[in-house]
Amino acid sequence: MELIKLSPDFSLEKYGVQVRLVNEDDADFILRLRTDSKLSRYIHSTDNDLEKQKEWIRGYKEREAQGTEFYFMFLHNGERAGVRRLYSIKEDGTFTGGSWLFLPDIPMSVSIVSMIISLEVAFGMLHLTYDDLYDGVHESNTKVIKFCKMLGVEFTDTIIDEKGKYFIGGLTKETFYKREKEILELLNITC
Amino acid sequence: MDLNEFITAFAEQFDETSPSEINAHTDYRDLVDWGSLTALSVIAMVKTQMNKKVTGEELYSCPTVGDLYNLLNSK
Repeated sequence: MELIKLSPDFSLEKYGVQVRLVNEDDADFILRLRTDSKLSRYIHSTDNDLEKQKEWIRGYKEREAQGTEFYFMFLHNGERAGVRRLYSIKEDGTFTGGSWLFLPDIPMSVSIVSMIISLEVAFGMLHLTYDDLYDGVHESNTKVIKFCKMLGVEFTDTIIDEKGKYFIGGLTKETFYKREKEILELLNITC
Repeated sequence: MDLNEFITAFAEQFDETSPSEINAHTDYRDLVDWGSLTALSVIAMVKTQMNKKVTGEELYSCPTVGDLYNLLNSK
């Protein structure tokens, strides 16, 4: 399949959340999230360097233009609330997701619907078919493991590196569409 | 479900907080692992084990576990 590209001006409003693609002006906000010791316990470490973050975003924008990566900024009431990224998007229809970080003081549904919106974009707009969690979820990140299972992720194996054990697996488009309704219902949100 | 059973089921939704730290007077919003994913787990537990609905707003506005139990019982 040919990779679908989103316009740099892409925007969407759904479930009370606004979405757009990350740009260089977001570097400071992203850096604050990624260098917060509590929020970023389970993501790859980031240097607390604004220029490096801007440079990383410039590199990302090239991947965005190729359709291999999309980094979403989610806003609540017009204010930045958090981010989520789809990357390693391949012509075989697979992708992976990560960089899911939100401010702690926003309404609880915002981060959850943002995950759902990012998957709706992946499976619906980009016509991808399989979320390949090849990076894995750290075994200590039990809340995310539990949430992944609610979403229908099937963990099939483990990998080990210097930081410990990670569960790897994946989520099919069909399973996601079945499970998202249940999660939205729990949040009192209708599709 | 009585209050003690509710406290046990509620505490099971927390991964980092010991169940012994959770009682009827606990302000769960102050617990280290309270957040959106724990809140979602509590909403799911209330639905599956109590057959009741609770919203995120209600969860965030109840001061203690006991207050949440009373709110659910009033529904």
